[in-house]
Amino acid sequence: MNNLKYDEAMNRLELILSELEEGKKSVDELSELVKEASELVKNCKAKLKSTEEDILKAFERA
Amino acid sequence: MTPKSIVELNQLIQATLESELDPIYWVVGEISDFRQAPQGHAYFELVEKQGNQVLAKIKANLWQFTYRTVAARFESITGSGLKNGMKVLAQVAVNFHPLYGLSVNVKDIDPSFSLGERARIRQETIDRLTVEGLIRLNARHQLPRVIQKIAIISSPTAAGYGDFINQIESNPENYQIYHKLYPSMMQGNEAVTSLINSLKSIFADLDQLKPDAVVIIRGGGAQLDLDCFDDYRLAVAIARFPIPVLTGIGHERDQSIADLTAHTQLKTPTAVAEFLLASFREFEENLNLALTRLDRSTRFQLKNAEAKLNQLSHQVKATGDSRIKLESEKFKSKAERIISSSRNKIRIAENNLASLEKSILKGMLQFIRTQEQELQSKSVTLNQLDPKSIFKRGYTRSEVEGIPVDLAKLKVGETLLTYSEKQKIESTITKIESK
Repeated sequence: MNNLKYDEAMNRLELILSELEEGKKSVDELSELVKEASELVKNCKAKLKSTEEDILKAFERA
Repeated sequence: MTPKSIVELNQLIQATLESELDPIYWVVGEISDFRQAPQGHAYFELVEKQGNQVLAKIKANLWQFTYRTVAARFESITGSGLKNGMKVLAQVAVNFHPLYGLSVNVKDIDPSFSLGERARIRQETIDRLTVEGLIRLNARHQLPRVIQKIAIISSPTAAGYGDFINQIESNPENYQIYHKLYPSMMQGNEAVTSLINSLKSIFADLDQLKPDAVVIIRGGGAQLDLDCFDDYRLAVAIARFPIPVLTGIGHERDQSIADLTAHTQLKTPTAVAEFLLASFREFEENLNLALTRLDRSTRFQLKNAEAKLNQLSHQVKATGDSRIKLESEKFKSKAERIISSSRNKIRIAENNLASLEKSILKGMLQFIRTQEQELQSKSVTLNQLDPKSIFKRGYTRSEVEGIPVDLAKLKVGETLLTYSEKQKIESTITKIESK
């Protein structure tokens, strides 16, 4: 899951959110999805954080 | 009347003359038919003329002793001997000889009268020549600057001629003067005709010989008998001669009339030779002078030209230097302008780049922020959609065999599974009632 690219992760997140909104799944499945989505949010946040740091670092050096 | 004998008659004439006439008279007459007798006497006639016509004449005798003293005095004063055509003032005694007839014995001759007479005649000649415009006529001919070819009128036996030739032939500078002699008698009764004939011969040779000048020379010997050079005809011949005539007649007393009509008059043959050689010397000197001047002016001009050239080359160098300096300054300022404008451009580009960089950074951060916000909103949505948070608020969720209650086709008797916050409740459907 960590290997997903940011866009894929976001797509996946959208999908999960829409599935959650639909509410057609069972509570267990929903819990699993929430878990996955939380994980995805966390990863994406981390990725953004590191990207920002990378950018700042790169521009600092310039 | 008893006739007289000739002797008686002549004796009567003699006695009458002696009683009636003074013993001595001064008379003026022209000498004619002059003869010298071997004994030392001189016989001539005293004539009175009107023009060429003889009006009267009388025989005259100059006895040996008288002749010697009178002639010597006459010559020393007048420079001339007694001769035909000469007008004299004579002291005479009339003498009648029964056999030889009437004559005068000359006792004395006044030389001063002849001198004055000659001066008068001479003045008349000069006046005539002046009136006729002949005095400076020959002098109008241009004498060449160097006289190289001359026709000489002289007597080949005269000492003056020999000296003259020697002088012009052995000059120290070795100048060459071509000369040709036209022999002439230089004194005596025939001299005038002879001189004129020589001039005629030269005239005939002019085209062939092309002499620069005629030289009439007569030197040495007695200073006597220069009368031929006072002759009108000779003076005219000289005056009219088509090339310059130089005279060196060798007299010291005074000018002759030939001298007056000649181009140039010189005292002696020596002076003539010196005059001719001087023309060479002067020419050579002028030539040398001209050479010196040429040399000097050439050097001067060369020096000038060199100085000018130097000045020009300095000017060229200076102009070139200043031009180079100017150009290099122009170039420098251009280079500086290029550098500064390049710097400006670089600065602008740098600024552009920096602002670009900034906006890129800004954009990126913006993008990240947007993403974060989106994530945040998703996270909030997620949180809201999370069943746990629904349960927390007191809601429950029911499903049949994993399918939510509102979606499942419910049947009575089926097992309903209900989730709350802390519980999982299983129940059986007993009744289904539509709302």
